[in-house]
This record gives sequence, structure tokens and C-alpha cells, in this order.
Amino acid sequence: MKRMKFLFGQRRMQVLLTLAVLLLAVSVVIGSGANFTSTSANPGNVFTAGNLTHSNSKPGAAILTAVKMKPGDVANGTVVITNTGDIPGTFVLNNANVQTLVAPALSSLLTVKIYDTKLLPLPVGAETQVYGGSTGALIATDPALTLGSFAVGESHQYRFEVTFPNGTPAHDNPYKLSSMSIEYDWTSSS
Amino acid sequence: MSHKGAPGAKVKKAFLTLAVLALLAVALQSLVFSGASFTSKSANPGNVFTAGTLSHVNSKDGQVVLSAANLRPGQSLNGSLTITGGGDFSAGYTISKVSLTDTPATPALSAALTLTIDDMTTGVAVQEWSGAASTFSSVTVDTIAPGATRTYRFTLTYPTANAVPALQGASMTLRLQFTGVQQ
Repeated sequence: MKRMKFLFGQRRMQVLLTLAVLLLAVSVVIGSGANFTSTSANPGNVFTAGNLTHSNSKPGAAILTAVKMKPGDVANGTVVITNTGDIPGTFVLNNANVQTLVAPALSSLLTVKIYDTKLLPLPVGAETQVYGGSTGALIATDPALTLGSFAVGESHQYRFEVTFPNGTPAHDNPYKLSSMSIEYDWTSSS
Repeated sequence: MSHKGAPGAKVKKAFLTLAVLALLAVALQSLVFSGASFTSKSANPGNVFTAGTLSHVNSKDGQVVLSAANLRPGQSLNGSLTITGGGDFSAGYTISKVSLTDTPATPALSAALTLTIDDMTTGVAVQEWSGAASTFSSVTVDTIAPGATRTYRFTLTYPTANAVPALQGASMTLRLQFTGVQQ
């Protein structure tokens, strides 16, 4: 009986050992569940917003002023607008704050012609009239003037030519000492 | 029993439909308003334009320069005035006839009288115009700067050779005007 017990106990031990080995084997098989792999990556996909800015050679200041104008007088002034952003932009010119400082309204009398000269990229372009026609238009640019698309770094000089038309004394005399001011706004959009 | 539930289902369906439409509307609105683009602005304010003025002062504005009552053949009379430039500009001046009235009209005294206009600014007479008063229309005189003055003398002469008995008691009125145009 003693021997039987021993044998039985030994057999149980063997079974247990066998099971432990099998478990270990299975676990090794699972753990080493290896197969061939190949991996590649595309990191650093960066997205950055563009920046649309422009410079104005006379920021916050007048392009031209003219005092003591008389019939037939012409006043000139220039400003340079440059696309300083890193994306192209479409530029528009309009006016704001048209004010009659001393009546009658000079804004209904003075005419303006606007000329465009491309400065950059080189070569410098020829001056072309972009507003006002042959006799000019009223000094207020209405509707807004579309100047077209500027590439990055593109630069244009705009010359404003303001004229006090030469009329008759009866027409012009009432405008003695009259005065006005106007603001020109430049807007670019992408 | 199933008919009782139908209105409720319809209401629920309608509510769901409205909710979906509302969501779509919000989505569309955000699409519209998100149609944003980058902009950049700059301004050039204070472009000021002011007209000048032009004026002058006539020392005898609206007054008689020369009254020649009882002018006899062979006699001359004169009168002077001063023009002072004003305003912001120099101007070129013209003396012109506004009106001429003869009484009687025929024979006209203005045809018998000689009018002479001299610039007396320097004290030495510089003739600007001379002729029968009836033929005077206008004469361009000088440029006068703001603040500068020029003196003009008007002389009426009744030449003896032009004396006609019918002109006794005749009269004439000549209205003149100075006009300056900016230069």
C-alpha cells in the first residue's frame, strides 16, 4: 500500500510536471508568435498657415496734400504697396472718411487719376493708368478699385494725380477756400 | 392600441426632422461664415485738399473815378485809383467796359472824348490804352501779386477838333470793371 501510494504520488507529480512543461511550451510558442514584419513611418507632416501682410510706404499718413489749389492746379503723390506675406493676395483700394472741411464740397469737383508702376519683381514696369480715365474721376474711388493679385514680394508704386479742373469763374469762384480730406484704404485678401 | 401610438411617432419623427434640419442649418451657416480668407489692411488718411482764394481791393470800388461835368473843348480831366492784390495768388488784371451810355445817343459824346489809361505806379505814366472813349472795350494791364499795389489814372480829353455844337449839354457814363485771373 505504501508503495502504491508512492507510485500514485509520483505519477501525479509527473502529470503535473508534464502539464507545467506543456504550459511553458505553449506560452513560449505564443510569446514567440513571431512572423516577418516591415515598418516605415512618415513623421513630421506639418501644416502651417500662410501669412498675408503688406507694407505701405506711408502707413497712417497722407499720400498727398495740396493747399491753396486754384483752377488748373495738379497735385501729385506716390505710395508703394508691397505684398510682404508668404502667400499671394488680391489687392483692393477704396476710400473712407471723405470729409468736407470747408464747404462747398471739393469732393464733387476735384478729379483723380491713379497710375500703377510695378517695382518688383524686376524689371520695373511701365506706368499705366488704372483709374480715372482721360479726364480723371471724382476724387473718391467709388466703387472700390481692384488692383489685381500680387505675388509674394510683388511691389507696386501708385501715383495719385489730383486736379482742380479749370472751369468758368462763375463755376469755380464759389470753391474759394473750400477744403476736404479723404482716406485711402488698401486691403489684400487671399 | 397601435393606432394610439401613431400620432406620438409622427410627432417624434417631425421633431427629429426639425432637429436634423436645424443641425444642417447650423452646419451651412458655419460653412458660410467660415468662408474666411486672410486679409491685410493699411490706410492713408488725411489727404487734404484746400482751394486757395483770390481777391483784390479797389480803392474806389463802386465809386466814380472821374466826374467831368462842364467839360469844355480843349480841356482834360483825370482821376486815379489803386488796385491792391489779395488772396493767395498773383493775378493778371484786365480793365473792361461794363456799360457806356450817351445822352443824347446821337451825336455821342463818347465818340468825341478821348480816354487814356495810364499806369502811374512808379510815378511815371506808362500808357495802357488810349483812344476814343466809345471804342474802349478792354485792356489787359498788369500782374499784381498779393499785397502789391498798382495805381491807374484815367484821363478824359475833349479835343477841340471834336467840338460840335450839338454836343453842348451832352453827357456820357462809362462803367469800368477790374478783373483779376489767378496765374
